[in-house]
Amino acid sequence: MRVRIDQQQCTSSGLCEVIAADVFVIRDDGLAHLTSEDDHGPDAAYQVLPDHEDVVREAADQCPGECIFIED
Amino acid sequence: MATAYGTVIAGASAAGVSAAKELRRAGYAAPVTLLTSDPDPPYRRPPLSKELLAAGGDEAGVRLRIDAELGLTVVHGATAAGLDLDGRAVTCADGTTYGFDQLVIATGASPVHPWRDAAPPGVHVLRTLADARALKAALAGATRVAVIGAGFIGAEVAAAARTLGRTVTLIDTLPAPHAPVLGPEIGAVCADLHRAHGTELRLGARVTGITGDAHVTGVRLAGGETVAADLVVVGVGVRPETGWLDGSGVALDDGVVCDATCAVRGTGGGPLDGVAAAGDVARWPHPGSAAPVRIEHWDNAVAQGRAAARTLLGDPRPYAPTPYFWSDQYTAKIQVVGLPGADDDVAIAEGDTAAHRFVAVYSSAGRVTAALSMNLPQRLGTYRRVVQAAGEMSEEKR
Repeated sequence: MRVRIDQQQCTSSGLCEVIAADVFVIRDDGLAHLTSEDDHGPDAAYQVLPDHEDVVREAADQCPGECIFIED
Repeated sequence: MATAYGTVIAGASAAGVSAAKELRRAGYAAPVTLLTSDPDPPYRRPPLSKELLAAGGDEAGVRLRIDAELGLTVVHGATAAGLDLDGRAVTCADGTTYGFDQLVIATGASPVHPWRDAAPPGVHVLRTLADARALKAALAGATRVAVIGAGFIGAEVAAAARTLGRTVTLIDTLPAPHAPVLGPEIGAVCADLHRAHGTELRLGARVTGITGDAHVTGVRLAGGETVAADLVVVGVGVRPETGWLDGSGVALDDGVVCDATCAVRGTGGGPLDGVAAAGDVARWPHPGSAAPVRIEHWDNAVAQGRAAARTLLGDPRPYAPTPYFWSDQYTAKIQVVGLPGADDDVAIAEGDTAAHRFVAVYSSAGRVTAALSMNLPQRLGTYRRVVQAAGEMSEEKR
């Protein structure tokens, strides 16, 4: 599973970080980022670890901006 | 018997579209028909008073994403005008009737405009994309802007106009912006934010009329003074769109009365079969509030649309979200999580209000009710957990 964020639609609710803090973080620009971007850059989709797949799906389902996209 | 329109959704903004998507996500295969009076394809409302009005702002980012493969039908120019619960049909203003198996009421709310019939040209409200286009065009040619109402729409419009370099006066009857929602202490900080950016505030000021014939010339205040303006924006709140439900058998009380799962109640008190509501129009009991709540924020509309769809699909669960909204004013991002009360105790948990960079925690009777962040968005997740934990604790005690 891979995940990416469309930050233009992000409402800064922080829900994704609460649900899956290992994968998502709100940075001081107020937008959701992938924690992996330090290693892979902001534009890269992130290969989700198997242990995190459930919480990433949950975050995508609950995201009010509907801006978390999953590619299986 | 299945109808040609399947599930009819009255309203095609955040709540209606979210309900439609959730129906599909859950495998609902019958037709889904969204009725909307709006001529524009579904769009996101928050940017209309924020990014869209800013210099360089355009409509590219406002469209709501609806994948064609979902097979949703959106009918524009379809203004719901009546509901026949026995015949299970919605009738629109143009006389067209849409029979339904299930109904989602998501007609939202409309701006209150006390001067609508008497206003000269140059007086605007802001609710729809068409409103935003008209306001953006008017702002381009305006020099002095008066905004009536220092709620979130009014404050954001004032900030956008001021950022564009206009002379701006923000008028409210109350002593501080957002005071009914955020309380007097944080309201005072918000007032300071406006003043720091050169917006003039006229607080505790009652508007008695709008002046001008060929074009607006100003806003008259009680006491006789007139605030000169060549553009006036009225942002004094909204009213839920329930007129089409009068006499239908749907229970109404400043909104559509729902149970805890967003099922709509009839005037007899019990839930109506196969009718749910979501978004600005819905009032429902929330465990964090003594009285049923009606929430006019984007995130709630999205989440409540999903909840309403699940209820219709036979999976009703109490809808008890931790509410969230945000407001962008000047360079400040204000975020609120929870249900703040205007009379709650407010403690500054970190940061500095004078610097417009802080987190405030609201509490009532010793229980945390909400947190507000100004310009500390990276701290919101931490406080969201605090607010959520407080809500769970209170539920265990009940």
